[in-house]
Amino acid sequence: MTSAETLEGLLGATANGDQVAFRTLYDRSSAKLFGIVLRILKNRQKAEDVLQDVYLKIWQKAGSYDPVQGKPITWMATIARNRAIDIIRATRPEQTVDQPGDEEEIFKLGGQDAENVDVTELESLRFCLSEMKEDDRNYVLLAYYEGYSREELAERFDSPVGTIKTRLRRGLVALRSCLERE
Amino acid sequence: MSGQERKLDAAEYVIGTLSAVERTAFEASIETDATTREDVLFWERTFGSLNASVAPEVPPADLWQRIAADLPGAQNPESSESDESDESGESGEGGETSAQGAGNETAAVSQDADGESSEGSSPGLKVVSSSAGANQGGSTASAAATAAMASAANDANNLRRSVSRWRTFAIAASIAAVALAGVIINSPNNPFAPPAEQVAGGELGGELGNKEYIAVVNANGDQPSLVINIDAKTGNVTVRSIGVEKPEGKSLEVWYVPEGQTPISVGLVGEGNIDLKDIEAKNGDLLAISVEPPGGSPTGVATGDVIYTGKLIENVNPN
Repeated sequence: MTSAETLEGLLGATANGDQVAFRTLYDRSSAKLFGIVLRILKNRQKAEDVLQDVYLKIWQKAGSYDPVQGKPITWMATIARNRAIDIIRATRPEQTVDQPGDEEEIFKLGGQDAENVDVTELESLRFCLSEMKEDDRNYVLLAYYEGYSREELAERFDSPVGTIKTRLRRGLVALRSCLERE
Repeated sequence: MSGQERKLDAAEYVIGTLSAVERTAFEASIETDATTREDVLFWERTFGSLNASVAPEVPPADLWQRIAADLPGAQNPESSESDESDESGESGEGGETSAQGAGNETAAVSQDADGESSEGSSPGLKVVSSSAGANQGGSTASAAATAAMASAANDANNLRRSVSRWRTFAIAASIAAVALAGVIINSPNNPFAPPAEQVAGGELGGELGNKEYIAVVNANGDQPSLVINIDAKTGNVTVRSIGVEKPEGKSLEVWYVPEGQTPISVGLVGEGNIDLKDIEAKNGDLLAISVEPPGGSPTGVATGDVIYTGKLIENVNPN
């Protein structure tokens, strides 16, 4: 694979205004990013709007990508998640949730190749998640994957919001110190 | 704000639990404070690895057109695009082909899962799974994940430390795709499934049969392994795997454990169907997986180690 064909190469070309490279970048990454925002927003229309914003942001910011931010897919996924979280934090609980029937279309097994996953940190993270108290771990995973707010966690786990916040933060402190040891 | 507070805000910002107001305030501090920026990057890299377990979904074809329309020079994209593709032969096609290829791959893999789940021919059920670390699709994808992780672990210490967990991951990679892919909820007696008219009407409501449940299934004393969503309304069961380990020469038996009651065997992971038709789901119930002799427990109760458990939580309808 030449550098022009890697996501990093495509991102570099995009930064130079190469729209063909940007299109290829889109083709290679949009399914992953769409999966991520759909999971959080649980609404296809909103997810499409978010994805549109996200790719325009990627177009504009491609030149600022720095490998310290993780692999290109991680950097792009971060932009996508941030946008999706901004939207749900601003709109829930009034948002429209797609009929659950849509889930049939939403979840598919994906062919995955190395460029579309960033497993660099996964080993340590899995280990350190396992060291957390089960409730704390569940809060963190449900927040990250499903976009749960503290209020939603509180409702789901039948605990006061303050307690959720305390435990969430306790869990994150423990997670960080474990990751730093690892 | 103390440094510790800000570190925690960084973590909560990345997982997304700050409120809208807190997010806005925090984003301002990312701009101005290098340490905060470092903390955010740390968490983004760390949690970014979990994105691998989110199933990809191809966006609608017209979405690209919407994006392209906002790019500079969008008024004459045809000329620039056709120039480019002439120049590189089939480069435009190439893009298509690669997207197509990815689509095909997706279809091929999900067909396997469908094959599994359709054995029980339960109407309206869709069982799907996705897993972390590029680990579907058997040994090739597994090898790719292995290679990716090996190259990532270029630090010798890191590598040494990871060896034991590494092995687990590699095994996980090879079977995660089939894990629980055979979960079947049979209609019409399935308490997870709604009455037919509710399916047709598709209304979200507070009725018992409309509930959604979610369980984070954890390997005991070990890694969290699966996130399972059970949608009582549609009968959809969604399984996302962060890694499932199946010991060689054994079967993994799935047990449904109503709170305070005896576990009920509901099937074997990757061997036939997992049948939840006689189960009445409620908060606090457990899903558990034990290691059993091939073909499952001979006694009807778990005889081997229980390696995964997860508590069912009723999913609150955001409406």
